[in-house]
Amino acid sequence: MPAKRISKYIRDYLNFALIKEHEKFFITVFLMVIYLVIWAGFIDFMRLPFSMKTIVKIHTTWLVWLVDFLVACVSLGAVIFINHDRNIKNKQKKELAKLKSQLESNHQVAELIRKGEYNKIMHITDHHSSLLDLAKNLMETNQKEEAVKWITKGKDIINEVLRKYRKIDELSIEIIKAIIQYTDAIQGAFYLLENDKLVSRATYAFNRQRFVKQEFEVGRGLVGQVAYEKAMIYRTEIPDDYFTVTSGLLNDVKPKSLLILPLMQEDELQGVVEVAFLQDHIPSYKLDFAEELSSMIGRTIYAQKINARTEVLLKESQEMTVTLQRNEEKLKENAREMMIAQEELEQSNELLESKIQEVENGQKRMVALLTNASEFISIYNEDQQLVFESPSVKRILGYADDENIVGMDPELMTPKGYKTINKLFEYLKQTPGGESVAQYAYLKKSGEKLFLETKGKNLLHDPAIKGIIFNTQDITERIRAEKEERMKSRMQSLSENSPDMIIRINTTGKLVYANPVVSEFMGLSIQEITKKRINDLHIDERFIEFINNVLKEIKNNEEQIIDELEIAAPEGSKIMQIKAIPEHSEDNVLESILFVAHDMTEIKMIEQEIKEKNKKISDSINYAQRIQTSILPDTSFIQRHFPRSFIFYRPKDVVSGDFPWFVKKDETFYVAAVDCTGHGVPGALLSFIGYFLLNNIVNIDDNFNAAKILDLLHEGVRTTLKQNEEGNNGRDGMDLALCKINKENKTIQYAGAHNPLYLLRKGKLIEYKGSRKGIGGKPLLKKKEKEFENHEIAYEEGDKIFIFSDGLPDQLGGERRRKYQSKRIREALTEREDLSMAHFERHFSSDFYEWMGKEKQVDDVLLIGIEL
Amino acid sequence: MEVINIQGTDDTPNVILDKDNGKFEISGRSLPEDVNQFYQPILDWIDAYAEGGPNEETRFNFKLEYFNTASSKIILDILLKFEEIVESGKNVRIIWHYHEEEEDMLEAGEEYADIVEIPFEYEVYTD
Repeated sequence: MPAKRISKYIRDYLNFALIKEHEKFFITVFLMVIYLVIWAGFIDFMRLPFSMKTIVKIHTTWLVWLVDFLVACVSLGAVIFINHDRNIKNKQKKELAKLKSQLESNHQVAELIRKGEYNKIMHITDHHSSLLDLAKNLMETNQKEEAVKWITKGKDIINEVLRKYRKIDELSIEIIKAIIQYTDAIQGAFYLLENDKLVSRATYAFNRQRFVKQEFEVGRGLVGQVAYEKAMIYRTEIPDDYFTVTSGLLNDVKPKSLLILPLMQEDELQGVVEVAFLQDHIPSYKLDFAEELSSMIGRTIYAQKINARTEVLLKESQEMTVTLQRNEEKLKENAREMMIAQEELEQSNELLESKIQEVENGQKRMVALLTNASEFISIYNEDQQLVFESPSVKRILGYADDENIVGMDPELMTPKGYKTINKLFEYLKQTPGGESVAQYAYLKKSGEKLFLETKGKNLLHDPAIKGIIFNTQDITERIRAEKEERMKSRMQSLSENSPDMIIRINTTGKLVYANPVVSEFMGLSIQEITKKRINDLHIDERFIEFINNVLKEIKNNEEQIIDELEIAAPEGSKIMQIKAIPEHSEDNVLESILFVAHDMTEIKMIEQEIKEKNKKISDSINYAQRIQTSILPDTSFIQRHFPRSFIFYRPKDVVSGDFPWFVKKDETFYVAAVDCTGHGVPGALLSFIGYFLLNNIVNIDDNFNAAKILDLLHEGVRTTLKQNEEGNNGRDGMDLALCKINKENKTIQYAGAHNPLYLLRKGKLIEYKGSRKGIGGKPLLKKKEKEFENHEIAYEEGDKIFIFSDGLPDQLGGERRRKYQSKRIREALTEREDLSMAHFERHFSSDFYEWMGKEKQVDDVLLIGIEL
Repeated sequence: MEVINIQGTDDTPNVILDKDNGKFEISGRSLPEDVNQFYQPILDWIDAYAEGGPNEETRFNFKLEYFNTASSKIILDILLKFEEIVESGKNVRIIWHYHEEEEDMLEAGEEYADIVEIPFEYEVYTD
């Protein structure tokens, strides 16, 4: 606002208050005189008389007013100048005073900084200065230093306690005491983690140890929560149910803040410390201190635990030593070593480390002894739970050292063995001091059975053992030896009762054993026979000679010999089959030869009889074959009419159920490949029926077509074998392919019972399938029989026809033991266009044998090929 | 009913006839020296099966690599007996297995299917 500012300036600079009363008077008088002189000048200049009138008169001109005004301005200026001067002086005075007070307070601050009384600084001054910032910084640094110093000192104290007290009981109370005293707490408790529970080990309140037992599960209560989260809790609101200790002096004082911290070794909780304070606020450096304690104490407790465990182990090993003393002399020495080590250990805690090493070495030796012992020791408590087992168990039971097995694992015992062990256990449990032995079978890792014998003793009352001790060893070898012994005696009785002669002769030719049959056979007593040389016995020379030869031969090549020999016996000549078996000692040296002579006389006779009968049968069949061959056409017979033709005919046995049939009537030729059911003798008998029926049919009438001939043959077979009659289940019959060839008008009639006709024309094959109907067999009442189809085929010169039985396509063989198959016949026929009949004849014969290889021939084989 | 379970040889087939478990099967090679002697107990069993109340459904598997002419006649007889069972109102199915390379075995099955009134299924198999 400029108006306000102007009025302020006017007030400041036209302030007459600064001019004193008498000065004002002098100035007014002086001004008046000046004016009068000026006006007198003007009046004089205008040459007028000096009076009031003239004074008024001259004031009609502006010049006079101007001059008046200027004079008034001069005086006002003077006033303004004086005021201005005053103002400046006042300002300077004020600033000077301010500077002075600042200097004074700075001086004071500096003085206090020097003394380190920072709190007073804050009270002194409230205005801001860099010196004050410095003071504040210094103060904070100082406080931090104080806190660090406090923490370090605290840690030293706690460390000292940790160093000083080794036993956990002492340590826990001393630690909690030290923490409480150092942090000005009023009460606290020290918990250890034992079996997933936090158990209070020491409680301290109002300068006295209290004996309070408290337990918390992990996750329960504040302590449990800390244990679960593994993080410190700091609370200033104390739960109502929080456990407090009354001091007796201060009545029931409730703490106002609470600090619970986990004791950690790495990430592993070791315990919890809980401290309570009367103050409702704990400075942060105390919290930091608590955090530091967490791992410090945790580490120590962990180390303590390990030490305690080591001591327990030591104790255990001591007990073990006592146990093993009973069982093994060698272990006694070891136990003594351990005892000595034990004593030394107790003498000095500082040497604990090296002693442990010694004990470990001792244990290693002991473990080595236990691992390689020929028996193993197991100790069970009364609930039949395994408490101890010596490591040798693994090797004895055939398992590797790193495998986890126990000597009485029910899984690896037979049910019977498990029962036995349970019984043994029950008995021992009821008989303190009692001893008993049991045997059981155990499965090795390899699946072999192992026989174990265990000696159990109840030492539950023995403070060193407090268990039932079993001493187990592998008796497989013993059992095997016993078994062998039993087997031997069984063998002995076997040979004593054997109907065969059994003689054992050593390499020098001395008889060492003979069974009763031998003495019967030779007419000598056992005593007369044994201990003699074979050459000294008065028996059949042939037998002595045979034995001597065998001895020689077996000494050379050590191989078993079987031979037959005729020997004179009391009841006449006998044929003996003699087996000579070389027997070796354990180091594989020929020791003796066992002769087992079996009376083959009767068998030989039977064999002879069979041979004779067999000869008769085969003679008879061979004769039958001569008859069959005499009536059947052969290749040369067909070739008279068809020069380029062949018959490939291979009966499975001597006589055959397959037969080729060929008849010429005038200029008509009949040719058939017939396959009768069965083969061998029954097949041959059928073939005769078929042969003569076919002959008869074509003799009756020339005009029957091929299909008609088959119809008549069908009927003929049925009639001949009486298959039409009730109760006859006649299944016998034939399959065939029949051609009626007319050379004049160059036609073929073909009809087939199952079997086809292949016609090869200039390398192209035409297949005529046979009817799905066989010849013969009893009529099916409900079925209408199929007809045989008749095929009329006009042929050209050079056409080749092939008819065959199923013996060739059905023959098993080849690499994969499969059938030859019609397909293979067709492929052979169409392989090239210019193949001759002679080639086919050779090909089918050799290919058939090659295909058959070592397989049996399955059926008679017949293939007829004719070039027209 | 007792079970017929004959282990096959080079010349005779495997035969399983087991009413309770519904297994009916002839497989392998059939060229016995005397077919009638070999198959008589089998035919008798089938007669007894037909008389003593056959199963609601009979699935009979034939998986023969080779059978001679004489055996083929017997197989027809077996099929005819089952045809009677079909006529008595029970279900019968013949599953005829043949090797993929042996068309004549398929043809043999087709011929049987022509003669007897029993539904046939053909199952091809490979080595």
